[in-house]
Formats: sequence, structure tokens, C-alpha cells
Amino acid sequence: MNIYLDRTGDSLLPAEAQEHLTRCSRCRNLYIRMGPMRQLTERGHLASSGIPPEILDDLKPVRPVPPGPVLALLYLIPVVIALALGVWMWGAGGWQAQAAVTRVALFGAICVAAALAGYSLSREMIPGSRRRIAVRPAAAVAVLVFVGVVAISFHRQYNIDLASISESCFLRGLEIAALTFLLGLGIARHGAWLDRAAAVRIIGLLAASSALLVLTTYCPVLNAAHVFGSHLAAVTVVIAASWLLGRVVR
Amino acid sequence: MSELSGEESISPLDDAPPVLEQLMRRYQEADRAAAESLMQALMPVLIRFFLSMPDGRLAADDLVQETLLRIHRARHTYRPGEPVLPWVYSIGRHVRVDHYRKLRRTVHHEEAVDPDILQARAISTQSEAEGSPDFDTLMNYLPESQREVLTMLKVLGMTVEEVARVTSSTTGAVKQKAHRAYDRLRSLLERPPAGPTAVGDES
Repeated sequence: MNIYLDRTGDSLLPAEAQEHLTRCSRCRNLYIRMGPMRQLTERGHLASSGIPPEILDDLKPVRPVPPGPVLALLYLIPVVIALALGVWMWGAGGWQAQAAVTRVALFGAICVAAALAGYSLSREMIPGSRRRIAVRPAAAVAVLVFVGVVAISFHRQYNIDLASISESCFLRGLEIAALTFLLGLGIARHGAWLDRAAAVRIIGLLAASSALLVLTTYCPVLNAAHVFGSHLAAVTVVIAASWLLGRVVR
Repeated sequence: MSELSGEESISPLDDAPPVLEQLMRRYQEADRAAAESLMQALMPVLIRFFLSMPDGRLAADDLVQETLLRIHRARHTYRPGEPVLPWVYSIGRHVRVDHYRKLRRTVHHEEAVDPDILQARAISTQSEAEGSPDFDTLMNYLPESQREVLTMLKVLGMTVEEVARVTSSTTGAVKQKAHRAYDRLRSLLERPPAGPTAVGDES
């Protein structure tokens, strides 16, 4: 019945829905009351102060933003720059140390997370744009895959000071995230920015994905405790910081 | 292209989208006449939009002005070929949300009242007085997100797809909210049973 209620007032209900209404007082009551809801707004006056003068005084031609998919790819440029910089400075020891299957799973999950952040940001920057992907469940799956693969396959023990390496990875993760965040802000500045908090938080997610991508690429330490205690800790700090920043700029 | 006058623009928008899209494109090219026509056409649409939301009724005119300014600042984010109204409503929605947050920051509630108690009291009082609660009153007892979706669907006559665009969500999420709202409204409308439930009653 709820599906038919979505169309209340638009057209006659199908026979099966009408039959249901004759039998069910709860649905009938609701259906009858929803009919005249469009009249609600007609109680007020349809008068306005007119066009704000600033608009007509400030008329300049503007170029429309690129299509959504192009915009989403543009927003991934900071991630690519950060990755290139990370490999150039610190190498790709992590990539080389991992088995092929692990590599596909981990980098697949990170790339999906980054792509989702880019997609979300492009949707956020174009008001009223269509959203076909449920981002949160997809992002949750990517996170679970990453955590699961690390927990299952990263069991190597090392005779080195993991604490200092973890600290180094943590700080590098924050540096990469900060760089990505600033580049992301720069690229996204031409968007709509209607909800600043949401935009800042999505850029934070993009920065967190970027940090994890760089750390997973360069760090050859295949130890779950190290990854959770430094790589994912850096990601958590970045997400928390962007969330707080979102509250501030709202 | 013929320009829209203020009077014409108040009429239903069934034929408006193509006109609005053309005006929007010309507005992006800094055509003054198109800008004026577009704003004239959007003003009644926006007033209706804000009047439909309980927290926007008192300041509808101010909110319309603010929305027009934001539309101007964000006019480059309109993609030619896309529907104009979801784009406009989306901007208007953010203006309303900002207004609501501002109100919440400034208004201090002196007495904390349990919303459920308030709701039960209001519905009970109204039911006794008039036989059943007013639908507008009932809408106020829906959660904000459900009320917003239902208002857009039922008061403004948007499609599920349009509401999804405006609220930055998927069509599935919009349907879920609407259906939860229907279920809640059914419960709110249901009177205390005076006798045995009628045979065949089902939800």
C-alpha cells in the first residue's frame, strides 16, 4: 500500500489498492487525509520582495562545471599526486613485499574508498545531482575488506624497533593526508559548497584514503599490529580531524 | 524566447522545466533579461517551497532572497540539460537548514519537554475537540527527515527521483523514509479502539 501512497493525488489508484482501502480503515484514513496536502502552501501569500539588486549588478558569464564523472576524476588528482610523491620519496617496498592476491585486495579496497570519496565530493559540489550509489555501505565493505585482509595475512615478525617505525609511518600518513586535503580544497573551491561541513568531511575521507594508499604502497612491514597501530591510526586521526573541522566551518 | 511574467510564473510548472532550462543557460551567459525572467519564475516556486516547511513559514521571504543570492553565486554548478528545479530546491533546502540551525542556536528552550508526551497531549486534546487531529499538526510529529521527504512528495508534488536529487540521497532511501512516515502517520491517526477491530482490517 505504501507504494500506492507515494502516488497520492496524481492519478486513480489501481483496483487492488482501491479494494484494500475499502477493507483497511488505517490506510483509508491516511489516504483521504493526504489528498489535500498540496493546499497547505496556498494558505500563505505568494508575494516576495523582488529580485535582490546584487544579482543583476553582478552579472558575468560563467562556465558550467564539468559533468559529474569528470569532476569525480578531477577530485582524485590530489590522491594521484600524493601517491607519486610518496613513491618518489619513500619507494614502493610495501607493494613489492605483498603477495599478488593480497595486493589486489588491499589496493582494490583503498582505490574503491578513494573513488567513493571522489564521487561523493562531485555530488556534493553539484546541487540536485543524481546519486546512484549508496556510498556508506560500499565504503563499509571496502574498510572491512582492508581490515580483514590485513588481519588474516599480515603475520610476519620482525627483529626491529616496530614502535619507531610505527611512529614514522603515522607521521608520514598525516603529512600525506594534509597535502591531499589542501590540494582537495584547492580543486573543489569552484564547487557549490552549500554544506561546508559535508564538503570538508568528504575531502577528509579523500585525504585519509590517500594516506592509506601511500602507506600501504611504501611500508614493507607486513605486521597487522603495525598497520592497525600506525596506518589505520593515522587514517582515524585524519577522519576525526576533518569531522571536527566540519563542525567548526558549519 | 518569450519571457515569463510574474503572473504566468505562479501557474503550475508542468510546462516550465524546458523554459527554465533555457533561461538558466542564458543566465549563465550573463543575459540580463533571462536572469530577471528566471528569478521572477523561481520566486513563487521558492515561496511555495518555504511555506511548505513549518520552520520556513515565518521567514519565507527572507529565505527566498537568500536562496536567490546563493543561486547566483552557484550558477556555474548548474549543468545544462539537467532539470533546474531539483537544483534550485537543493539550494533552497540548504538555506532552510542553515536558517533552522541559526534559529536553534539563538532560541533557548526554558523548559525541556519530552516530545512523546507533548505529541500525545496535543493529539489527545485535538482529537477530543475536533474528532481527529489536523494533518498539518500530525506532520510536525514526524522526524525532520521524514517530514521533509513527505512534504516534498505530497505538498510540492515532486517525484521520488526529484526528492532524491534535492535531499542528496538515493531513490531507495527516499522511499524508505516516506514509507516509514506513512507507517508513523497511520499509528498517529489511529484512534484508541472503541470496540473489537473490524474484520479484514490490515495495514
